[in-house]
Formats: sequence, C-alpha cells, structure tokens
Amino acid sequence: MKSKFTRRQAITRIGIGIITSMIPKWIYAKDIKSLPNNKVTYLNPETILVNRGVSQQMDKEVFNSSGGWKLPFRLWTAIGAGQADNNGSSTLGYLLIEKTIKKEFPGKFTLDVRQKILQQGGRPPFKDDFHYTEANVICNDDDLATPLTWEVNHSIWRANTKLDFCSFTEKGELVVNSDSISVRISVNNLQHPDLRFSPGTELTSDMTLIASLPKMLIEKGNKLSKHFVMLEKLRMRKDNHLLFRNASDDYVSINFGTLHKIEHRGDGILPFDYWLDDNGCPLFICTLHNAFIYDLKAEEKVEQICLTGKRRQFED
Amino acid sequence: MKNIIFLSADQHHFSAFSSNGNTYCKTPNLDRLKNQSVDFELSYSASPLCGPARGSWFSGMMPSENGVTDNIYGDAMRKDYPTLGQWIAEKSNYSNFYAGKWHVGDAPHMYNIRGFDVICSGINRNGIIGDASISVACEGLIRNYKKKNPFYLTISYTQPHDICETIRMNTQILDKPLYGLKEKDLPPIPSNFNYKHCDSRAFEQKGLYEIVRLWTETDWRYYLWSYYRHVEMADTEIGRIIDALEDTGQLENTIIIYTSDHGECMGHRTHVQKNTLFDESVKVPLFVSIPGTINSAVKEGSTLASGLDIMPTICDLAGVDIPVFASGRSLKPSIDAAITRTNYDDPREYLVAECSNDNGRMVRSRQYKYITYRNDICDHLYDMIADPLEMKNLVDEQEMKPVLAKHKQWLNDWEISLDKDPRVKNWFE
Repeated sequence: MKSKFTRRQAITRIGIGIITSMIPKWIYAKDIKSLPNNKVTYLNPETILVNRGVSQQMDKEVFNSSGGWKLPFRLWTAIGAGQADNNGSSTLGYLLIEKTIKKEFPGKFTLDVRQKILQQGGRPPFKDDFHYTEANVICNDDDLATPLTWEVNHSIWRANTKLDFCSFTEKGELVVNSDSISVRISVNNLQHPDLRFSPGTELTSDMTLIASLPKMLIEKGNKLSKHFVMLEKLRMRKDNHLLFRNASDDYVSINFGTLHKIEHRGDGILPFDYWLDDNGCPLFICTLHNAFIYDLKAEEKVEQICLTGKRRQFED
Repeated sequence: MKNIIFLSADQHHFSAFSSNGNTYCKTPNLDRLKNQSVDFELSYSASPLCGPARGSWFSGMMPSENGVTDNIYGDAMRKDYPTLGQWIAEKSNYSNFYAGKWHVGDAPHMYNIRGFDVICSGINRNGIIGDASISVACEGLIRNYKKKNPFYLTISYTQPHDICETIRMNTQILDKPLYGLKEKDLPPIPSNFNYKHCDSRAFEQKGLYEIVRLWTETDWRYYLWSYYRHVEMADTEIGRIIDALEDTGQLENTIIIYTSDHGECMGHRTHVQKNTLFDESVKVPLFVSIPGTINSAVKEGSTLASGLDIMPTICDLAGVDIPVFASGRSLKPSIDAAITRTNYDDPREYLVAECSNDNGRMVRSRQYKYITYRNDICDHLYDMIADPLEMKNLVDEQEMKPVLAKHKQWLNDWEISLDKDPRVKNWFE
C-alpha cells in the first residue's frame, strides 16, 4: 500500500538501511551516526535492528485500524549493548492488546490487555519471577480511546508461585458531569478518592493510548496534535501530555516498509516514539532504551524464557 | 508499634522537588510526604555511589568497615555482622519485606537478601519498566496486610538512576530541543558549570565524560530536562504507595523514611552522575514522615545526618536496640525535638563521607566542608554557608588554617574509631 504521508529522504535512507543491516552485533548507539535523520538519541527501528532486537523479516497479520485487531508486542531493552557487562540487552516481557468491537456497545470498543514483565533477581537463571497484568477496558471510540470502565488485575509471581499477598484487583470508571470529570477507582473493593478534572479535559491511559494511534494516524495524518491527561496504568495521574506528528521523520525502511512517526511527551515520562506502518499498525514503540516491538511470537518467546530461565538476547 | 517503610530513590538530587521551589519538576507525591515530615536539610550519603551508600544503610557501617567500597558484584559485604533485616527480624516482631534494588556488594537485584523476604526484585538499570512492578508488589502487600504485628518494608526504586542510560543514549549533538520543546522548557545549566579550581582528583571527570564532553548547551539542558522526568517517574510510583496506605487507613500508622543513595551532578563542574564529594553528588534528600503526628513540614537545618544513620534510626523507631557495631547514630532525638518544636543541641560536630573506592574523604561540619583524596595535588576547604556552590577553595587561606587543622583532626579521630574491614587498606597508609 502506498503511503499517504511524507517520505522525505526516503532514497538515502534505503541506502542507509542496507548499510546498517550489515553492521555486526552489539554496536552501541553512540557509534551509529548515520541513521535516519541522524536521530540516535532514542531507539528507532534501525538501531533496534542493528542491535538485533528484531529480525529483518517481521511477520505481520492483516490490520484494519478501524476494526478489531490484535497487537502483540515483545518488550525489549538495549541496556548494556556494547558495554563491558553486556548483560541487559534482552527481552523483558510481552504486551498483548486485543481490540473487540461489539454490536451491543455502539461507539465503543473493548480492549483486553495482558502484560508480563520479567524481574531480574540477580543472577541467571531468571526463572518465573514476574509481574503479570490483565486488564479489560471499555473505551470510547474517540480520538484518544478514552477509557470508560475497566478492571485491572495485578499479580506478582516468585519462583512460579503467585504471591497472593502482593496481588490485587482494581476497578474504575469515568464519570462525566456538567461541572467536572471524575475517575472513580476502587482497589480490592475499597474506594479510592475520586480523581477530578475540569470539564473538557481529554483523558487516556498508557494502556489505551496505543489503541487510539492506528485510527488517529489514518484520520488525522500530519495534523495530529493532542493535549491530554494520562492515567498511567489506568490510575496514576500525569498531566500536560502532548501527542503530535513529526512527519519529517517518516521514512521507508527496506526491512519494515514505510514507517510513520508519532511523538509523545508529558510529565513523568520520557518521550515516546511510535512507529506505525501504512495501515496504522504500531510496529515499534520506543522510549529511551526500551522498545515494544510488534512480534506475533512475543508470548511464546517470553514463556520459553520462563521455562528455561535463559534470557533471549538476539532475534536473528 | 507503627509500620515502617524505608523508601529510597536512586540518584535523587536534593533540590529536585517542587516543594523546594523547583519549577522544572513536579513531585506532588513526594511533597505530600514531605509536608508531614521532619526534613533533614544537612543530609549526606556515607559514600556517593550506589553500592557503598546502600551498604552503609543496611550494615550501619562505613564502606571501609563493611567492605563495600565500590560497586562490587560478588557477595562483598562482611558476614560477621548482621544486616538491618537480620537485626530487626531477630530483635522485634516486625515482618520484614524488601522490594527493589539491592546492589550491596552484590548483584543490583536479588531474591536472596539476608534478613528480608524479597517480594519483587525489579530490573537492573531499568526503572522505567521495573519500578512499576516494585510499586505494584508493595501496594499489594500494603493492601492485603492483615497481620497483627507491624511490617517493616524497604522499597528501593531505581529511578531516577536511569538518567545514566539517558546520557549513554544521548550521543547526538543537538542544535535545538527535541520533541517540540521550547528553549524556555529546558532548565538552565548551573552557574558553576565551568568551575574547576585545579587538577585535583576532586574534579576528575568520570564515567560518561567521553559522551558529555561533546555536548552543546542544548544537550546539557535537554539532559537536565530529562533528569526531571526521571524524578517524576519515581514520584508517581511513590504515589501508589501513599495511596495504598491512605485507602487502607494505615497511613497514620506508618512511619516513612525517604532518602537517596546519592545525588546527581546535573552539570555542576561539567560532571554528570555521582561519585564526587561536592554537594550535588554527596548531599541527599532525607525526611522522616510521620502522618498524623506531623501535619506540616518541619525543616531541620542544624542536624548533620548521614546515610550511616539509617540503620540506627530505623532500629530506634522500631523500638529495637541500636546495634553497638553501628558507626552512625539514631536521628530520633532530632525528630522528637522537631515535632515538639523544642531545641535540640545536636552533639555531632561533623560527619565523614568516603568516595572513589576508598580514595577520598569529606569532613562536613555545620559551616565547612573539607575534601581530601589520597596522593592528590591539593585539598579543599569550602565555607558552605557563604559559598554553597563550592567555588572558592579556602584551603590556602592563612586565616583558615585553624579550621583546616580542626577538620583534619576530626578525620583522624574518625578513621581511628572505625572497625575497618581487614580487606580494606588503612586510610593512613
């Protein structure tokens, strides 16, 4: 499919892409000065490829930005790449998001989110110590996929045993009144004080924002610029967030096709770069040294790590 | 007895709080705690590097006593003394839990820590991902805790230490701010950015200097902007903990001690990271929050507090004997005096910090700071009241000779008083 968006410097970048794909493993980002637009401050698809966080061939499923879909991400980190200890660049977990459109909820959709974050208790083998999150969210089908009602289950696992005394369930709902917007949350059935916002405040969450990106890219294109409040993990308030397009950074990768960039910054986060393909499917979500990488086998790979205790460092 | 939470961040500069008037960073949750705290404004790390600083917290001894003089990976802490966790477990009915970074002469994140039930280890050099798991585990513990005996919980976040990774990744030379930021959004570089008195080891550029020496002013300011975002991440996670205590009605039954292992150089003297004896690195936030008892912030500006005092203070607050091997002292008398607004004549005249794998020493009195390194070309003496940015070395001033002599004498007295680890070289050698 042809890109609807800017493709500046595409030709030179194709050349650069060929060169970078040939660079041997574990070249540290500081040594890479010739990547797209010379942007190496944070991870991008090409630096992830160079550091072997992703294979050149990325299998994808058909993606319809306005329909239902599944997004499987492998959480990968570049920490330690090229350094003496070299022990941090690895897969840390997965994030699976499934969007379902139900006839009985017109103008809304459901998100089922599952995330597993492996912990790093010292020395290998890193077996079965993790934080597992399951969430079910009903979202408004609006620009930011505003969460309306949700349930989140957090569990902590140590040596393949669930620590019940560290696990809990929280429920939330967004209540819109004429003079305010409230977020009502209860944890383990215990009411938490409402979070209050002035009328007109746009709200989303790190769990739901990803679901808004495909449609937003397709519909808003280069005009995208949104101010909002983020509820991190559907609870912790972070203000002054801005999501915007940086279309001049779009480029054609020989490995991943045309990639469109959306940037995101705000209080309490380091900036995020979201790289979406022509269909609006997010392939890479990068922040500092971490990247959520689209990977149909994400869950399988992480479960394999839990089974063997062997961290997966390279994808090729 | 009340529950006790020992809450720590990693690399938190003492000024990086909204409540300190810093408009570049937002710390609503830390400020909530601070507003119900005794805030020790003269608080110093026992050694401004992760491992040694933490070793002092959990052993009650200086790095040169407990053996953790550097970021050592390999079970380096002396075994002939108990850890804080072991001591509390043996002497009290507190249930002991630990979540987060350890790094005391061993791996940064571990499940087998002497004296503690580790509920979540976190992820090495990745507070962005790992700290949320630490918070969730602790939140769950707090929300589910139904036992009659109190808990003692160590929560040890990695943020804002990920600033080190930001520096490593920020190898681009910026001519303008990224991410649509404007010049006005970026914090200014500090006024002592270019200050260097001599080629003393105190000014030695370490760690990531090979990267930052190429930076433009915009790079430096962007790094400062990023640093504050890291601090805010820690603040958010701390909010989870306070919320859990508040929702379950346990906040007023819990004492929370907050500190950092060391600061962040933030461009002072073109330094980044830590491991120097200037204030930006060695001075740390420390406050003791007692909600329900303290209802507004109490500034304690005359007590000299050290990371060495963490173990004796926690023991004292828990009603446990302070171990005789502890080289620090309990801050409880200062806390009690601050709460009752009575005068407290702090008997401590000075404190000492170690640095650079046992090669540097700082002696801090209420007015002055003396810095010395083994085999260095010069020593340092600063008047911390007149010169808080440490830009005028008084060491050669004739009228300061008695002050200098006094601080040297204190250092000698201090070194003689310590029970040195046999593996560590004597300071006088």
